[in-house]
Amino acid sequence: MIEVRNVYKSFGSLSVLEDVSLTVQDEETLAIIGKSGSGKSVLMKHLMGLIKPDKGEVIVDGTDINAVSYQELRDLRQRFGMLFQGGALFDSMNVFDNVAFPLRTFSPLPEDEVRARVRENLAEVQLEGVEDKAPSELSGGMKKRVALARAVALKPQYIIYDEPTSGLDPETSNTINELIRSLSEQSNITSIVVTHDMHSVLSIADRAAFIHDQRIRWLGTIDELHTAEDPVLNGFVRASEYQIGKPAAATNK
Amino acid sequence: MKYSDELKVGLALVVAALVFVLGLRYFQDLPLFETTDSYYSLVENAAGITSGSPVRVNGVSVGAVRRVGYDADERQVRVDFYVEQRIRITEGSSASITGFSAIGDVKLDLSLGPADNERIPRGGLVPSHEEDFFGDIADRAPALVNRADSLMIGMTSTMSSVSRLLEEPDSDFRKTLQSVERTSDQVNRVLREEQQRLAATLDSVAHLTGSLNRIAEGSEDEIEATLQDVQHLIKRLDSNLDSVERSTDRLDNILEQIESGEGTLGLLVNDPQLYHRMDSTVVRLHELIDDFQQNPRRYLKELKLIDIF
Amino acid sequence: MLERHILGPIEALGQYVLLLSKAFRSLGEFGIYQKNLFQQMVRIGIDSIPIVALAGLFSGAVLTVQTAYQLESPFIPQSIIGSIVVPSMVLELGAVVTGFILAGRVGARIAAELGTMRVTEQIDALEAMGLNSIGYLIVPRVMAGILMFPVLYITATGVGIGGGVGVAHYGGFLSAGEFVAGARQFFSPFDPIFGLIKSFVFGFIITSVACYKGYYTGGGAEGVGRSTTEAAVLSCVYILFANLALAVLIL
Ligand SMILES: Nc1ncnc2c1ncn2[C@@H]1O[C@H](COP(=O)(O)OP(=O)(O)OP(=O)(O)O)[C@@H](O)[C@H]1O
Ligand SMILES: [Mg+2]
Repeated sequence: MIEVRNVYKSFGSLSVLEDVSLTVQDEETLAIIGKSGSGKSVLMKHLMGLIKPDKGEVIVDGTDINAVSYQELRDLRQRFGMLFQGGALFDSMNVFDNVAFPLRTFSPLPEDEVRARVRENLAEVQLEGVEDKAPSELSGGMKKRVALARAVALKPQYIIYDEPTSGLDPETSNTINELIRSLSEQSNITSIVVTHDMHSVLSIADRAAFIHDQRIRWLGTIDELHTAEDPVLNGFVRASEYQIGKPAAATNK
Repeated sequence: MKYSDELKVGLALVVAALVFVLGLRYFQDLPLFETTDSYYSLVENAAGITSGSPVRVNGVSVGAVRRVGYDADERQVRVDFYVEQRIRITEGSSASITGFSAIGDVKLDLSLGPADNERIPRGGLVPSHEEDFFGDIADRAPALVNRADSLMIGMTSTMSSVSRLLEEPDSDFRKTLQSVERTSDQVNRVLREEQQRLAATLDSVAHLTGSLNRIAEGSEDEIEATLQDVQHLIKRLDSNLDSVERSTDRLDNILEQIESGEGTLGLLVNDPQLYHRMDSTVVRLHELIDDFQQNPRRYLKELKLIDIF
Repeated sequence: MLERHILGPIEALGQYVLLLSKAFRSLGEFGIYQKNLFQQMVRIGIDSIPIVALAGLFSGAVLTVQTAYQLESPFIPQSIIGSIVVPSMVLELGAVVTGFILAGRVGARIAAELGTMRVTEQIDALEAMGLNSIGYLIVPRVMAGILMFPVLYITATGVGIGGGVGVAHYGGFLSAGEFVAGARQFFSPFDPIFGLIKSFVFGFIITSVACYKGYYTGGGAEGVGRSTTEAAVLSCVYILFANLALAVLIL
């Protein structure tokens, strides 16, 4: 269980998060939605201690991750897998080594099993025959899928997906959504998905949180999303539904 | 590309270490692959020897000085050096610093002990042999000249007092003075001899100084030979002056004894009463002899009297 | 004003020292970084051998020719050229030429690499996996610098002396034998040790400054460019200072 309690964060004079509180229940899939630049990626980095809040706490399984030693924080982070918005593939390694990296570093698997697992992971994101390519030789969508394969390689307890389907064609998007859903249905996996894609939200999420004006403006189940009476949220959802697969445009001033 | 990173790195490190060690030995003039033994020696004066200076046996480089430092306990300069292992440094070996620091040519020369003596253990002390060391001519020469000068002055004053004594008019001293005369003769002879030898020595020094002036053009071996000659000469000059000094010392001794009233001459010189008594005795003796010559009968009468007895 | 010109540098120094102390506190996890260490030793060390050897060769050759030119006098034995060239290479040029070349080659490269990793969130990705990014990225690079710079110093110095002997011999200045005899006459075994110490220090300075600049890069491609330039320039400046400091402290 991850609890975010009254988190404030600003970069210089730019306030990004103000009094954000949020609880992610075990084994649920939570979607985070909101306009571009509303602080979704910043909030995700708070969950793993990659960014420290100016005020407030982030508690993972009962531990305040900003109050523990670096060593303990690192142990906690091993429960997480994160797909970064930009992929963050290691460009000093080829595709295969990128996906194999967490396996080789943190699992006791022998090399041939690592090979088998990497192939399997890449097949799941519909990538075959690119093992020896450098990340710079891949398209944006391919990078995202390699990054996804790497994030889930160790089947961690918490998986954070930062816009897993942005930049993908609708068909591949559906495959990725399928993959995320099948992973999240396995026992003991909690997923947090940042997305603009209302299809994703509707098909994989149990609950959704809407960030607006530096705060969590709305939090509820998917069913409640359809009946919500928040004009800002409704505007956002409706705009998304008409522009499937594209980043949400600003719909509300 | 087919070599692993580890192999490349390991190879580079090994080759570099090898180049470093061999280069170090090469420029220290050490055998590249032979092992060496280290020893040390204690000397009074480092005399320009530094780490890296060659260590030689019979003029052949067999090692190098590793470190030169002042040993505060021994109050001497400690010279650590190493030599090829095949060189047997036996008991009775000695080390000396040779060469002329002004032209950067200082070495540690080893003279090996008898071959069947026991070997000095590794890291042990090889005694130094300081007498051989006259490398720094520039320092030594003025001191020697000063010494010769002061000796001459001493001798002059001694001689003048001797001649003063000899000028004392009374012939009756001669017997006693004979020893003085003998001594002074000896001194004169010694001085004459030594003067010649000194002159010869100083001539050679002058000659060698001339050679030294030509050093810039000379080959290293020539310089070496010259320096050795100079060392030799200075040693000789030193021993000559020693013998002059010894003679003068003897003379001084005698004069001192005379002055302090020891011996016949001393008593005579130092006791005017005795002198006068003797003087008057001699005068009376003269009168007696004169009287005898003039009036032999008076004395013959006496003789007759004796005859009567 | 005060903040910009006084507190700023002091803060940077503190940040630098903290970064290094964090890096060396993670030495215990060396097992994980070992693969990286060898990779970096090849990139920083082995791959730099050709350029360093080239620079050493020309330094030694030029030094010999210029010394011969300056000492053209009948009163000075030609072997003095060897006595000047070898200690100069061993004490000063071998280490400093290597340092300057590698400040550009290695320093800039490390800063660009780490800077790019920072702005493309690769460093965050390492951290997110539970790795110690400082240990993982910085320790192997700094250690590779410290370990491989002496190798490069020996390369530069060795090739430089070789170049000097070659030019002296075939350029008709003095024979190789005279050169070596001159070199031996004033050779002190401490000189190469001092050169080695210098190369250790330079290796540390270049790699650690570059890691610091790269690790704390901000602001996209432009930021990477800035870090890269600063890493190369600052390494050179610090090498000059360290060179003086070592000479004053040790000699
Ligand atoms: N390291 C940083 N330094 C300064 N400002 C930052 C930093 N990271 C994020 N910001 C700012 O914080 C705000 C939120 O950024 P964030 O990346 O969280 O947006 P987002 O919600 O993920 O948007 P998107 O949907 O486009 O990814 C932005 O205005 C951004 O400029
Ligand atoms: Mg984002």
